[in-house]
Amino acid sequence: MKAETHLTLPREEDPTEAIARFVRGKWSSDFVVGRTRSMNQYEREVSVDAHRVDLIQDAATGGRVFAREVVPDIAKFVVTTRPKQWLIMGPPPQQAFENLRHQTSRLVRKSERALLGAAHTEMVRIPVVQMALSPIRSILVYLEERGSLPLAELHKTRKSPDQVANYVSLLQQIGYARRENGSLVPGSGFPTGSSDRTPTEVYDAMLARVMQENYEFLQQVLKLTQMVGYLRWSNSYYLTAFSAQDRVNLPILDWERRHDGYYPSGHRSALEKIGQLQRVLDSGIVVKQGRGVEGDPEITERFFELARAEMDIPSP
Amino acid sequence: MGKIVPGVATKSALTPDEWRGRFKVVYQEDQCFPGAFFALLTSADLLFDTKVTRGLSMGDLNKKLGYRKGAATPAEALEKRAIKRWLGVFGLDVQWERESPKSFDNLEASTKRDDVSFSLTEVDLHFVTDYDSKAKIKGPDFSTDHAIVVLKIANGQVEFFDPTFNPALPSNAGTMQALFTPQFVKRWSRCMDPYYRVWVTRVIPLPVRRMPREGLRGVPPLSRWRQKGRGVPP
Repeated sequence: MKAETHLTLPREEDPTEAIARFVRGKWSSDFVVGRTRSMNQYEREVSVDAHRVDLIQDAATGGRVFAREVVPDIAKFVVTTRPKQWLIMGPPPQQAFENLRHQTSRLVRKSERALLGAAHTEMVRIPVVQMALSPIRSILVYLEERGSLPLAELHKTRKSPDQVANYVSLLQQIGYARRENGSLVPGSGFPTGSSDRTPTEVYDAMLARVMQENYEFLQQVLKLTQMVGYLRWSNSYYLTAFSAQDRVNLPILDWERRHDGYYPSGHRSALEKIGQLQRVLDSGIVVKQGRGVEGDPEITERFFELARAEMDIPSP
Repeated sequence: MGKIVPGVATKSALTPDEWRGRFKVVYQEDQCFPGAFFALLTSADLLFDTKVTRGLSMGDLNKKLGYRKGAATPAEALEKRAIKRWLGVFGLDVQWERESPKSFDNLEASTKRDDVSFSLTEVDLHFVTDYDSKAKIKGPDFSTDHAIVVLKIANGQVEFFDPTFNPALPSNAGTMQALFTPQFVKRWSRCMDPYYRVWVTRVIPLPVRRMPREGLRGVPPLSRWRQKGRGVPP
């Protein structure tokens, strides 16, 4: 159990100011006092927010962007009125930093969702992602070609019964398939054939939708973790661009540093990193431009729109 | 050990061009404060011939300043006893002032003295757009500070080093920038720590290196030239 923060102050001092001075001086200069609300006649709650500044260097122009960001409610202090003093109780600093980390990872996840919405079509073209999704593609091709797939056929594959059940459940959820007399048949969401798109394009579009709508299911239930790295690398660029509100030209080293900052637990060897970076660049989600990398203009536009909606930020 | 005598400082002998390029630090871990403090220590090393920054990485410095990933260094980091103790090992002492009515006069005077390092000062973040038209500030509007090192005040101008101004980029070849004094003072007074200034002094004078006496153990004997009684070699 970590020790709580405990302060006492004479009544002539302002407790809110004392909290502001304390958190900024001792914990982090980003921390400021946010909302204050009265709990009862003798107690009030003072929230602490983090006001962060992120520096983004644009390699193309040499310009700097100082991106400001507010992370609300990372700590709460309770001020109690005593006859001759204020009693201030708050969380230990570790908890405030933990809350900050937690809120940052929530922001990163929201950004990932927005990016899946903006770049799923490009993402399914990455060979490793295609390979991970190949069992789903095979089922879709079978349904298109033969009209129905006996479940017994599925069980003949090298997949375990649980995995088969998960694939079926995923396709049912999205409306691409339904069960009928011990077989899988095309569901209401299964696209009808059209002449202006090649079969590959049709399947890519279907897989893109699977990926966009069921990314967490793919990752956590089907354990298709091969695609995680690509989304993370792409997101590390796009979230940075979103902070800068501009399609910045990010030096590759900065891109790596930001990736390691957003995903501190996902460290890989330098060799693996280079491989993943190159495949993200090959996919066209992020493109090499001069000394740095830039986002695709169309993906950036779509991503900014979706990210604003995800993060509840009004359009400029 | 040599005898301890007051050292000879050389700050006033260095021209602005000589300072240019000496401060290699750039913004790391999204913080200007450790970057500016590192520059201040670089200045102390150049001035007092100490070796504080030799082998000191930004990671080490961040650790000493109590930095935690994702948030900036605490505002009172340089006032910690641990920092004083650490610098004491090198014979240095860290000092600071804030909200002093004589801050500007003190700052100006310190840039001319050769017994203190250049000062780290906190200014309002909008300071960066005053001297760099390419810098942009985005996102919600709130007040935040920015740390720089003031190198010289003369002719109505303040010359400074901004650790976020990346000299590694070809377009930012210079490491030193200048701004008119009133603009600097305006941003200095409006920051969250008004008139905050930190500097380093040498508390233990420099040891003077004496030439080892010939004939002692470990010292090479007289040269053949001098052995022949011909005095000092040409």
